[in-house]
Amino acid sequence: MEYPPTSRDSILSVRLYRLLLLAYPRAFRQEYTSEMVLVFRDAYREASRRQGTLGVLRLWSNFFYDFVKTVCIEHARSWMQRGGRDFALAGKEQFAMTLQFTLDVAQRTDIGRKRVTNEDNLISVVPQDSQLLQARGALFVVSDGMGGHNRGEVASALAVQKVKEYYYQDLQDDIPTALQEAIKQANITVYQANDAEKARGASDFNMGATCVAAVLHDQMLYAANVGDSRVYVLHEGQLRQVTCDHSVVALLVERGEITPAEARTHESRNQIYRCLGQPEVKVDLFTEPVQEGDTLILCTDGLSSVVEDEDLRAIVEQYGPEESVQVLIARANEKGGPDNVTAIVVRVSA
Amino acid sequence: MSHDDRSTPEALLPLTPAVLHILLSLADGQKHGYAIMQEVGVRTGGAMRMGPGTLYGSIQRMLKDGLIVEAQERADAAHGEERRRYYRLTGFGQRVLQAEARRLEQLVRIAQNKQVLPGLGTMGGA
Repeated sequence: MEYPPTSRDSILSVRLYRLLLLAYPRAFRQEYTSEMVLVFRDAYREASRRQGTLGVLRLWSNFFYDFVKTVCIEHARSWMQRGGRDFALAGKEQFAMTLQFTLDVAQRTDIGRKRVTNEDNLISVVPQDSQLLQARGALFVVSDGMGGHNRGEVASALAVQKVKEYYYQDLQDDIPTALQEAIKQANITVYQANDAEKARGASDFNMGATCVAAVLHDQMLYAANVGDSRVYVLHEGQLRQVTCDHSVVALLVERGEITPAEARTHESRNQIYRCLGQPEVKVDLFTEPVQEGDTLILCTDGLSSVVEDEDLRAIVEQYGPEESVQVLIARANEKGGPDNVTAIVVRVSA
Repeated sequence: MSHDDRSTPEALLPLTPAVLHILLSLADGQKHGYAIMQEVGVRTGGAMRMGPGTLYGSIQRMLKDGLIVEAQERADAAHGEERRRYYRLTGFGQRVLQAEARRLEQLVRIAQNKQVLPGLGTMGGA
């Protein structure tokens, strides 16, 4: 036999390990205790044969770490199974102790009072498949197209559709990077559509679109934007703009040259310096934790340029999402409805 | 969760390191728990130390997901007389492993293109 005779230490160690296993949930224990003890004994023999006491110490430190970690995981899992929730963990060890939020989502777009077409587009995706929801989260996208001759409509429709497609097709674990990449891909799609039209002889074909996208995943909000469509979060009664506009007036406000109120009436208020449809685009990303009770608002400038933040806050705080989007759009139209108006309101509850 | 609603292997990706290594070690035939642990340790040069909790926690989920099944229980001459549970890959497990390998291959290609790993292009030549 190549193994050393069973020593007193090894018997003690195996007993101790067997005692530790009592910490696992009953069902797991009943199924795997004897196998785990066998594994422990084999590993102990090998460690002791190869490296003596040092090997045994290393083994204990590795196995003890493994023990602490997996006891927590197995208890959490068995607790959730008892709760009747199917978390579809699919072997995810980092599934954390988080429950999925329930999302109450409302969305609406309106042509406004002055425009002849609606060039805004929007999309909300809360996957029905719990596995997909767990893995990729929920996605909300708003886009404000520009280009005239209905082209803005095409650009914003392409933007929201492509961001959705690329985001859910991307399998990488890194959610924020996947989100940024999805917007960059959408940019390329719009750019290529422009190119194709130009090749057909439409030399002035130059459509573009803003894009703001938000992902709610595992108690985090990831917001990414290009242009002046925005994400706000209402947290404990405080409204905060999450994204920073890529607009001329936002730069002027930042430099202290004009006030936010002046920005609403400034002659350059419609000028943005980043949009989809360019050979290359820089996408900004904002990450923050979300809590139960928070409300997320995505909108185009047709809303934010006429409805003041304080109004926005009061409306979203007072009403549920469905009523909120209706009231917000009505308010923008009361203020003249100079542009298309789009809003998505998402309330996060436990 | 039954695997009715995961008809495609891609739905399970990405795999955790533990699940991926267990699938890999079963790719060339059935093994018992300790043999899986040993192989993973050796193949990763000791970098991946999988303890019994991680091993059997993963096995439990892999059984549930239909990636592996228990083969007949039997004794392993090299490791004492006790009867042990052996595990082997299912067809679905094999497809999931292939899909994961393809996904990783794509990632490596991206890393190569971005020259994150400059030496990678000449791998094997050096």
